[in-house]
Amino acid sequence: MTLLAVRDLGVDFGGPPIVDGVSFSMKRGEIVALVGESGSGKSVASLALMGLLGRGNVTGSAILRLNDGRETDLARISSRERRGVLGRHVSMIFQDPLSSLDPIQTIGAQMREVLSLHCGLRGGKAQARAIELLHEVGIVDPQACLKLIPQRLSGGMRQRVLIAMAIAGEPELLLADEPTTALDVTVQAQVLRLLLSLRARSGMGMIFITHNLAVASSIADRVIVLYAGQVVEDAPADAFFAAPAMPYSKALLGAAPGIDSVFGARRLPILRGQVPAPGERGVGCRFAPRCDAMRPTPCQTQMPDLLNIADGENEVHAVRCGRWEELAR
Amino acid sequence: MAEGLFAFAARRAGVNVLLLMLVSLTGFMLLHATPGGPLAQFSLSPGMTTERLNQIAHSMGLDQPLWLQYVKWLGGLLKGDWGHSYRDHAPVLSIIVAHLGATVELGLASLVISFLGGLAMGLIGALRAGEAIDALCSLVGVILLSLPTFWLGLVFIYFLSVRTGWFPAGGLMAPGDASASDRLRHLALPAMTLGLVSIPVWGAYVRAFAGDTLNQDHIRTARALGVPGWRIVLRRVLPAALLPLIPIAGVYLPTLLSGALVTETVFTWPGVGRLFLDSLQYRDYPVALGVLMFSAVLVLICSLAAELLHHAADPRLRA
Repeated sequence: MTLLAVRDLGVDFGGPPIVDGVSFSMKRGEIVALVGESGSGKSVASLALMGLLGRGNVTGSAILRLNDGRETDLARISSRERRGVLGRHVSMIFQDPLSSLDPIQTIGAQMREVLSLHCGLRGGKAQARAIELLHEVGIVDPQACLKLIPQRLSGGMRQRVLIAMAIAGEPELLLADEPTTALDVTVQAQVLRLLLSLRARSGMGMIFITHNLAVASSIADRVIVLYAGQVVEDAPADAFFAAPAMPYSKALLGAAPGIDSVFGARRLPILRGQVPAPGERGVGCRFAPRCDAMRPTPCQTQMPDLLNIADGENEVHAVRCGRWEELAR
Repeated sequence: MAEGLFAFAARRAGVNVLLLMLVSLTGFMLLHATPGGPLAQFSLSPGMTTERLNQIAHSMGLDQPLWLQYVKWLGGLLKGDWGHSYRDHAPVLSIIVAHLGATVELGLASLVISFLGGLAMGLIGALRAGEAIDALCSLVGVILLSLPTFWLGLVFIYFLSVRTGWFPAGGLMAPGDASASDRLRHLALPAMTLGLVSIPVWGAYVRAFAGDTLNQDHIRTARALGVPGWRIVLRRVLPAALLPLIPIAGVYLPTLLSGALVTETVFTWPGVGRLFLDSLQYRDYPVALGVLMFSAVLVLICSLAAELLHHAADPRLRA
């Protein structure tokens, strides 16, 4: 069952597109990792999916199928519809848990606000549900936590509180924008495990935005790689980590520090250069200037299409590379 | 916070006592250094002789060494004896208290006008930042800020009083009329004058604080969780913008309560500001010094109160 179908999603702020013809679809309960370097457009794409950008800046469609069978286009949502969808059907958690909570309201006040908005719970019932939610996300003493202001909580605890607030309305889709980047490594693992267990319990789909491939490999069912605003590879996680087809994906995997590189067995290969700014893209493949496998033709002359190279009928493994067949040999 | 609230208050109180000593010394010496000195009022009376003048000086203790006069005056201040007016020999403290009611009335009324106006202007500017209405707000702000108070007061008197007769041109109330509506009608023009010119000051603060808050991550979180815009403004932006205004109000309030010199003069409003000007004009030094000390005490009390209130209101400052 398809949960979300994104077709030709584009975002621009008056200049060249930041996000350019992004298409993918995901199933109910699936965890999709949206991977890319800074400047690849992954955060902007997620804000577009939340309807948090001006409608004039977004093109294309992103059809979300709700549990009750209704469909709504997140890319073209009106601000009135959006309030009915956000928090209830689609929620988001963000990178920096330290600044993502209101510093002058108690955790309790902020949770009660969401619970009254999305679940119609007030007073004692809201309190009881808030305690239940905090317990669910692994807060040890929920009652005490509700009385505190965010300043008194650690980063990991704040991210748990934010997750509790995001799942309060039992959404079908959770967007997580680098939710573990600002956390200690041990806390990172705890939060990832929490998200996996929440998915297992509630069956909500998740778009997990990250630049960290280790994180992606530990949580994702599918990996979608963004480069300069485009999808360049879209593959099941197993296939992606076993045999990435796009040279950019290979380079990213090569540049990720693993245990062997940490202990000095090999030096980390460096991906030279950086993602071209929206105004500095050529006509050919956008990765060509940094690609070790680049040939003047076709790489610099023609933008490669996103091709499905999967063997099976119903599988998707799409790659955007003019030389993927040669390189696969 | 490392130190407790009590220690904080005690330390501030100590600093304040020192400051008050400094203000009293400076004020006392300045007024004694003015041409004519404290006796100027009497030396101008017709038929005054040097002998009589010396007598007066002796009876008022003005022939004693300056430091002794200062110490005596200071001792009196502490005991609540702030001296007596040279004009009618009434106790200085009771004169000030008698003028305080009118000043507080005008000060609070103008504060309500300027604060509500500034709040509306600042919020509109912050929420519609960069749009036409934001530019319009700043333009109105600059115009209001550059209006001289006395001129604005005269314009109001001319158009809203002399030409139309809608409001009285000055004074606290009509003789023999003690009704609330009459007091309000008298209050309207001076309060508007004093209030309007301060709107852009509050507006600028609110615009800045609300703008800062709107750019913070937690506003985005609230939006991503479907919290409606009006609720975000009411529950998140407004409290965050109001908290830092408390200490600013603590600095601003005493300037209102120690009398609005210009406005009170234009509207013949019998407040502390008028009292101060009058006492200077009449060389009524005990009263002038009294008002000076009264203002200093107000400044210190208000800023201390504001800081304590800020501590109580901002959960982040509570340890």
